[in-house]
Amino acid sequence: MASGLVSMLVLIVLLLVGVSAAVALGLASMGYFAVTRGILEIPHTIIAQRLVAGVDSFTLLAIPMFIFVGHMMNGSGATSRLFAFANALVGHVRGGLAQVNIVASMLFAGMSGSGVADAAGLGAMEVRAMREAGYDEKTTIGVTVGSSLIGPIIPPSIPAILYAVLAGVSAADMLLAGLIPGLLMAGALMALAALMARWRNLPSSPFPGGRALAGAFARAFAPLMTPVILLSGIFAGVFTATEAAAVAGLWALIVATVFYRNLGLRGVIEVFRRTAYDTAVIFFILAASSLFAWVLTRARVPDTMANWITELTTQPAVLMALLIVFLLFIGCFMAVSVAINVLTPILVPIVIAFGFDPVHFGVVMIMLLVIGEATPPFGMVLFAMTKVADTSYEKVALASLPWLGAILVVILLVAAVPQLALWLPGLMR
Amino acid sequence: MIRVTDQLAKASEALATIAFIGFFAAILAQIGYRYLGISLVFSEEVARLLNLYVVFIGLVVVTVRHGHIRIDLLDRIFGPGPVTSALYRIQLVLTFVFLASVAWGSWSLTYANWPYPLATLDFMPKGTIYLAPFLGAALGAVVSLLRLVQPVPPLGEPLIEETE
Amino acid sequence: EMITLASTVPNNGINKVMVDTLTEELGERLPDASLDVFLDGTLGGERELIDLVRIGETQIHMGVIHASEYFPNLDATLVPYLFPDYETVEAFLASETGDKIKAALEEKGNAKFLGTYYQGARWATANKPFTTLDELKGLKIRMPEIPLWIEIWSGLGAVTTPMPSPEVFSALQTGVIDAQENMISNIYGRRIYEVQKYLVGTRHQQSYVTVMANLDFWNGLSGDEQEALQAAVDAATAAATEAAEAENERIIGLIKDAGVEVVEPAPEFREKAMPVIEKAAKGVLDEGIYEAAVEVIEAQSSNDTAK
Ligand code: NA
Ligand code: NA
Repeated sequence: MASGLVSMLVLIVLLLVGVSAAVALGLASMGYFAVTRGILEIPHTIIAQRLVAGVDSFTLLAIPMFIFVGHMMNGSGATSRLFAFANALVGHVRGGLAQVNIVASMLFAGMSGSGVADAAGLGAMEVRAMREAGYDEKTTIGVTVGSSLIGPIIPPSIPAILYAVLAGVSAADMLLAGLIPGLLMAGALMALAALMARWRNLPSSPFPGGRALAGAFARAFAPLMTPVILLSGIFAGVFTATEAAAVAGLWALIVATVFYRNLGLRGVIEVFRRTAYDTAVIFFILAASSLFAWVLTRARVPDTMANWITELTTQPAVLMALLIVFLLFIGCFMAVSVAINVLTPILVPIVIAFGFDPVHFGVVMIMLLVIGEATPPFGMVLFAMTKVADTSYEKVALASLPWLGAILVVILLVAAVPQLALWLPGLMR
Repeated sequence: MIRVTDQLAKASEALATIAFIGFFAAILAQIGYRYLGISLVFSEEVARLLNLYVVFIGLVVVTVRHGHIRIDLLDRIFGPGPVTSALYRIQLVLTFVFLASVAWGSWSLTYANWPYPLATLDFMPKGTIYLAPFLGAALGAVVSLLRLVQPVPPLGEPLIEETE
Repeated sequence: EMITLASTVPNNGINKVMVDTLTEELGERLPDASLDVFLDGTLGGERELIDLVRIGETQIHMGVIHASEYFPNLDATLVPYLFPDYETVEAFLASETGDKIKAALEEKGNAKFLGTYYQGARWATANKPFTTLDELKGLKIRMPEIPLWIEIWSGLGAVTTPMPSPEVFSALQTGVIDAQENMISNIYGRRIYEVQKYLVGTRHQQSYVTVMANLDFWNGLSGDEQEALQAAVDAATAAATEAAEAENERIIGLIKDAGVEVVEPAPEFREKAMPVIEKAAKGVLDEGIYEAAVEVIEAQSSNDTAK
């Protein structure tokens, strides 16, 4: 146990020094072996084996597919059509482009599994549009960051797939469970945008008329079908979650090459290349976190922590409250995928013992960790937005705060009302 | 030498991309065959194997481009200069240490598993699973060493592509 | 001394009897040793765990998959419908072929065979009841990645599809697949009975878990210590096997209570399946192994009638 805690400390130091997440996780694991067995006794075969085992799963293959769909939609111009449709739909509502920003992200969330894909693609477009229309920087950046976090909650979702694999629950259930919480997130952000519109006197544009709205809808129709295909395919029992992800990928390819045709062969190959690259980046971190999680298990950290927690409380509500605070804190320091890899095997047996449904807890856990994407010191969405908006990291972090608050309210609601997550997967039964 | 690492990056990126297209196709084939009433034995294993090649061969490109996700807090505090460059070199050495360990371990596993066939692709040795991390980590380790003697890239701004 | 035991089996039912008895027996027979137990696959999947015991990271492993990894050419116990009960499986493992299996485990897996314990027969579950081969035709059934099984079930007319086990539940629920086959404890533990209408008494394979020790660890023990460990394992496997029948009956009762109908396949199911099975099995097994198994089984059944 003590050696396990030491290797956690080593990990934090290495991360702060700027060592890449995967290498830091790997070295912290090597450090554990060096301390407990001696430097010449480091089991290199186990290190290699855990790296492979951490990514060698059919269910996880949904993740590259979701990355592919996101890139394909950004590359083919589908994203700008979604934005135009959102603009025609809610541009006239109080809050104008701030509302458009949220609705566009909500729609994009149906075809992308991560927040960074939203912030970097759609986000760039939204920031440009809001700046041109004279929106203040705080609102512009804040709402773009906040709304991009819907991406990993509404299916498809990378963290949901990862959690499903590690918790041993159905990926299909996890995907469906995120839909209502994700829509609630969008609702909360829109409510805040309406309030902000009053305080900060935000402009809105006139309603373009039913014909224009219908036209914008028609132009965005093909990409809007992606989540419909994905979810109805799972629901109707045509395919499993991984297969559904591949079908969504096929659909994105068809949208780009048959309907929109502005990408060209080079562009399509470029999307494949980018997907392979991103898959390597993400899965290498997954692999290394799986190694680190193994080391913690070997050091009996999960058992010991479970004992601590059960000594601390026997009340499910108190447990949930403690875990919410803990996960918010961890999310600030760890990438979502790393945190899920390390914490799922530790926490899931505990929450099950306290009577929570692992699918419900998974949704709450993912939402909490995703908030960390937008908080310092280690937030991928913050990094992306700093680059996209060409501004300072601190400004982005500050501007995002109120929007994160709105999301937190939704998380508390979902934590308190399990049916918000469980109702939809329950319908399949 | 920069040319060598560049060529290496291009070649491994091409391989990783092809492997990705391959497993994409394998999953689609699995659905198609099921609805045609044909029992497909190997689709799942093919897809998983190809994914390993995407990940670990892709690792070489990511290492060449210094694209691993990291906290660049200190880079931004110190800005471009000797401290950041020194930290960068330390990171390269540490990356080398980890990748060398992975290469060593996966070589042992490749060797130990070579006599056995894969479960459903019985014409292929089980060692091909661990060949992927061996190639990726060994080349990645070499790249990390080469980069020690190459100029320091512009640090202080994140070099990430849109991941995660 | 710390003896690490790892397995993917869940920490309940028969397996819990096994591990608890082993811990207790070892406490008495080898008081200096302490058993460090990792169940539920917390240290990895089956394929990884056999590597761990081979390199000596863990000392004891309990599992199933090593057979199809190391000696698919010898292991007749994987052949569906060949062995009528667990006693014949034990007799086969104690036969000359069993010795070859144990030697192969030492040579390829660097592991000493310590014993086996019974898990019960494998049953099928389905949304459409099948009691004849005609009814099996076109049924989409999930199969583990064991080529012999895939060959046999698709040879019998089913459409086999590979699938990770956590997905089986929702795939059955939504109708991606119609059926699956498994041990009774998994059918219950993975709540498969919630999404299936029929439990089909195929009892097509006698499943059991093999207990093995890393060979270097074993050879490093003194003669007395080896004896003590072997005795502890023998006691534990006996207790687990003893518990298996009753535990499976209990679980079948629970599954019935949940509203699942139990159907028994017509006798012709096995009869008509046997030629397909025999042909596929002989393609995988070394020459003479199938016949050796049949010989053991027949000797065993004539023993039984003699009793
Ligand atoms: Na947005
Ligand atoms: Na999404």
